[in-house]
Amino acid sequence: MTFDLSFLGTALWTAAAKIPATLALAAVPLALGTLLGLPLALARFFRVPVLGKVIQGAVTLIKGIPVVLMLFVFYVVSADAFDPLMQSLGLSLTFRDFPKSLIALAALSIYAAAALCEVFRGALAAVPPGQFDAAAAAGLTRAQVLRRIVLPQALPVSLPMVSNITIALLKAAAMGSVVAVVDVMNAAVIAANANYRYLEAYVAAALIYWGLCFALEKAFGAGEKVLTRRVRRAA
Amino acid sequence: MPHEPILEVTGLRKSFGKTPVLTGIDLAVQPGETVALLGPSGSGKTTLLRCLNFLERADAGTLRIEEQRVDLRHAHSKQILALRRRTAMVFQNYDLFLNKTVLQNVTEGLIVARKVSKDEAIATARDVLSQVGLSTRLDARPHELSGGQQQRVGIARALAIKPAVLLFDEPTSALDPEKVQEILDVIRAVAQTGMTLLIVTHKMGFAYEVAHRVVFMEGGEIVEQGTPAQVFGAPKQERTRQFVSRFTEGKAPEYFI
Ligand SMILES: Nc1ncnc2c1ncn2[C@@H]1O[C@H](COP(=O)(O)OP(=O)(O)O)[C@@H](O)[C@H]1O
Ligand SMILES: [Mg+2]
Repeated sequence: MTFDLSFLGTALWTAAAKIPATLALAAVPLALGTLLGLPLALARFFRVPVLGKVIQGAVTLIKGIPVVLMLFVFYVVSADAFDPLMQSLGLSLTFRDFPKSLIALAALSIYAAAALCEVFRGALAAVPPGQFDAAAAAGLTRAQVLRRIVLPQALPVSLPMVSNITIALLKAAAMGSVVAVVDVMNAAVIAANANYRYLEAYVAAALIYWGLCFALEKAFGAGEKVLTRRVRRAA
Repeated sequence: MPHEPILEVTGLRKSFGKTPVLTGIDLAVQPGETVALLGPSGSGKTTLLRCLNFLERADAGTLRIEEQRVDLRHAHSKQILALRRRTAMVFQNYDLFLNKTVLQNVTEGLIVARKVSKDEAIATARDVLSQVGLSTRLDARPHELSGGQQQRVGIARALAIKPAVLLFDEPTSALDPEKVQEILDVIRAVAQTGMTLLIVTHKMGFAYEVAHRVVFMEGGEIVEQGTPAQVFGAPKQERTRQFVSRFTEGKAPEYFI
């Protein structure tokens, strides 16, 4: 079997067309995961009674499940529930019309929320306790303490881990194929199946993922530099 | 003292878990008074200060500062906030806001907590910073400053809000020895402006010279209090005598460290 360079080009082109889909499958869970993970991390960090423990348990559970399993479960549950739900709402929609990418987005967002919850909790713990005390003693409300003093110090600390999670999401999005979501990976596989040339398609996908991950790491690195430059620890 | 106390705490108790740390503190501070809080390590001095501004929640007791009186155990967040805004605290490890400049460290409590206009806050900050001997480097970040400079900012940050009572928790014990005297001089100057100060310190010479009153704590209670001359010169309690003898042995009071 020869390596068909021109098909590599074709596969690259086909797969690259799905870069926006892959980016969306990483960006939306990242955003939702942050929106959810940060309050959860705060609840855990401040040891909110009951809630803190519940979150801890939930995070452990979610992190112990393969993402692909979560995708299957969500698929099965929504397949079962969708048609009866639509009927009861008097809508003539079937599961066929249901955008499957929502399943991938939901599963990835839950995974991201659990991962980010832990990351943000660690970052909060990295802020010296004296910062909380000094801000409270200065008469700031708890929200002001967080917004003005603590989070500006915690978030830069979390960026390297957030970068890792984003890259993990980007790659996890490839598992969207099990619920028929087409991202870079699946576009490459579809092209391969159509032409019976697999290696070229896989190499094309790998090249695109490498490029995306490289760009992401650079972007996060630059962000981290900007943010930490001003928040270095006192000697 | 002729005045009504500006701060009055009664029956303050605090345990950490099952360990009692403060076992019934009654203390009153007069306006303009400088009170030095002395005592061996672990006697509860820090915890007492932290209960006064609710950095720790006491188990029992009442606190009055100016006209606001609260139950220390049951005070709700609005009362706590209002009470905190009547005090300021200078910390052992400075605890400057690491994400803020020198100037912002001082203006933060004014602009954010007290809704002072930005221009007015900056003018106040420049005033108090020059009062503590910092007129340059206002745009520096805490990590760019020496310990002595950081503590000057810490004091300026506390002065800026013109608190009813200024709380100091061992303000010089993290400093290099050669910086200690400068900071004590700054605090002495603050005391002479007539502000009300409650200072935890191990600097006996400083307490002797600057404080109007010395309060000696041990084992979570106030053992003895009085003028520096009384407490250092003629302690009534054996425990006080033992504590101060470590500093006064063979020395006239003028030569205290
Ligand atoms: N957060 C805390 N949790 C448990 N024990 C504490 C805590 N803070 C202080 N303690 C204990 O309370 C006692 C008094 O401490 P502290 O108020 O710091 O004394 P001081 O300032 O006089 O040295 C000590 O035995 C200390 O170990
Ligand atoms: Mg202490």
